[in-house]
Amino acid sequence: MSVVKLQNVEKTYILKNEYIPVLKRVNAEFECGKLYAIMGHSGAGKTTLINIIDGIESFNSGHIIINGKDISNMTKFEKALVRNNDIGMIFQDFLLDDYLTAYENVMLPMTINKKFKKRAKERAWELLKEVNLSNRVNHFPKELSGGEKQRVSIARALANDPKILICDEPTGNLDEKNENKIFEILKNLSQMGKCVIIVSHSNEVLKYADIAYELKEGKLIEK
Amino acid sequence: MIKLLVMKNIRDKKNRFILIIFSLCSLLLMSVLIFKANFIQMQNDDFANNIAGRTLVVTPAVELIESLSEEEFYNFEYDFAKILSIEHVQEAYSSFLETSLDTSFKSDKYDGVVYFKYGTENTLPNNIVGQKFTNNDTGVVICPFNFYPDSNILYRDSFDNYLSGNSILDSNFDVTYEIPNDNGKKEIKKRTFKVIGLYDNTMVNQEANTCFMSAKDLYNIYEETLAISNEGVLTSVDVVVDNLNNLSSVINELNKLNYNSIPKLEINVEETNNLKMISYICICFILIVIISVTIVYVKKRNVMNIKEIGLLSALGFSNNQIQLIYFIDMLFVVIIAIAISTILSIIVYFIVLAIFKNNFIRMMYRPKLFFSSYIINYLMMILIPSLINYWLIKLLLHKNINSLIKEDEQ
Ligand SMILES: Nc1ncnc2c1ncn2[C@@H]1O[C@H](COP(=O)(O)OP(=O)(O)OP(=O)(O)O)[C@@H](O)[C@H]1O
Ligand SMILES: [Mg+2]
Repeated sequence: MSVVKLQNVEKTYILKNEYIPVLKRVNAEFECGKLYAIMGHSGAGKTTLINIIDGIESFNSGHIIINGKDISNMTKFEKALVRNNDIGMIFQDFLLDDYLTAYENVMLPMTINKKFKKRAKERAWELLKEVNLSNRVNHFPKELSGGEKQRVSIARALANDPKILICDEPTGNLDEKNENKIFEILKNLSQMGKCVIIVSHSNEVLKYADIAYELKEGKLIEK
Repeated sequence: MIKLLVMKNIRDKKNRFILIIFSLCSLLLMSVLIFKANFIQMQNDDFANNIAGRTLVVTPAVELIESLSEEEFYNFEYDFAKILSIEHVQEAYSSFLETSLDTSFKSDKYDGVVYFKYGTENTLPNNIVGQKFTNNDTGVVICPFNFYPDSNILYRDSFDNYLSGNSILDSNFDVTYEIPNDNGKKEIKKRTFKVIGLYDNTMVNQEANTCFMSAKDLYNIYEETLAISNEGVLTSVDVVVDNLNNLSSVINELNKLNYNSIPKLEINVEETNNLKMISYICICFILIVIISVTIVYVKKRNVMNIKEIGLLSALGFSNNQIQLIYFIDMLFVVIIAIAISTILSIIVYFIVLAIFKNNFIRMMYRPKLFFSSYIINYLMMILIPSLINYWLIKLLLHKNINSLIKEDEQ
């Protein structure tokens, strides 16, 4: 069953009378239990695409259905709820809070989630254990390596048990060894039933992907 | 969530700078507010506690004096019964019932000149330790706890040499003055008095060299010295009114009886206005400092936090939740700043009290800390930065989340 559905999604940036069409009537479906790779040259619009799915970027026309809910007509607040409940996000530069420890960072999205608020602390520890960081729970981001930081942000993305994991260049700042480690964890998660969408420049991701797309000239083409 | 925020704030060293600035601003603001409150209080005290504030000095009106012959003038008698029957008038007594006299307190420290005031139920301070006296008692006085029997009290630099009230309570001292003898020459008359009570002169705005004496004694002394001192002088009458607000109505009534009257103590309006003006300018200045520091700092901080705001949005925090987070963030710093400045203000208060002890004694006023000043200060310190914070974050939240997250990649 598809958990993310894109229907004729169009996005054009307007910069001082200049139109930059980035997405042209994109149609795609993403299912649980699969790992999707989205490739494409720089500037192709990959980040734009997944930000639109996240609901942190607007789009011009079309529909996006997340977990059965059409986010096209949602208010800011409703979109925030969808982000908190249904989507876990992983960024290239981790975006961890420097003044919070690993487990506090993982707790952060749970503090506003009805379901996990009460057992946020225990759950944060469990999640860090799942990404093999049980010996780093009380460390601050600056005391962690890049690979460890990205694992913390994976644990944070999993905090509210979302069905969808969206990763924008999750290994862009990592060496090959750590890259494979992260991809393995994400692969594992997809096998456990998550819908994992990875944007990456690296061909390594193709080894793990169930389905690979290329974003080219504003269209998603299956490889 | 709040716990996480607090932890974050404690760990973030950048907060310490703003904490110091806010504490100082708060302390300054508090000082000005307290100074202003004390200044106003001091004036009010002058009137409320110092009986002179509601005392009128009454003299015959010019027309009345002109209508008198020389004989009548010297023997002019005030119509005390009529004056006392005016509504709101508590006391009326000749102004000669206040006098400075030499005493046996004279030593190498003091010149021994004590100012004696007429003390009645209405004019005696109510915070007396020991006994009071009535109009017909004789040979008794009530003196200050910190007694300074010297005529130059206003010009003293050092007040270390107080005569402790406890050491003179229930003891006797002599008063001396010149009277004419049978041969028409002067001789020294000596009377002995007992200190039966003590009062706090600072509470009633009296000088530390002022003692209260009964009407009978003062009148006797006046009679005895009359021939030397007041010959041919028309004395005025002091009229004590029950309440400041009734001064003007009493003045009107006295006018009808052909008496002129002026208040014994008058507010220096110009000085008051100047001081108020200065304190308002100070307050405005401090507020401007607080506002600009908040804007500069919050802006700087938010530029650093722009990514954080983007992240919070990306994690599903709503705009209101983000506003709340930054409100608590600011509140946390402000509340600590307030706490620090409150403690500092109390310390400063006691230091100022110690350093300017003598000045305050001379001013017959003990500065207080005003709760209301603190409340105003707290409100300003909390409201101003919070509002600025709210407004700045609101501007940021209008931006696209995506551009916030990317902010410092550019
Ligand atoms: N906020 C914006 N305003 C205007 N144009 C934008 C904006 N964001 C992106 N673009 C343009 O949209 C196009 C797609 O950008 P996007 O960031 O999605 O590319 P990308 O595929 O993620 O590239 P990369 O692989 O380098 O990350 C680019 O041409 C970019 O200049
Ligand atoms: Mg990109």
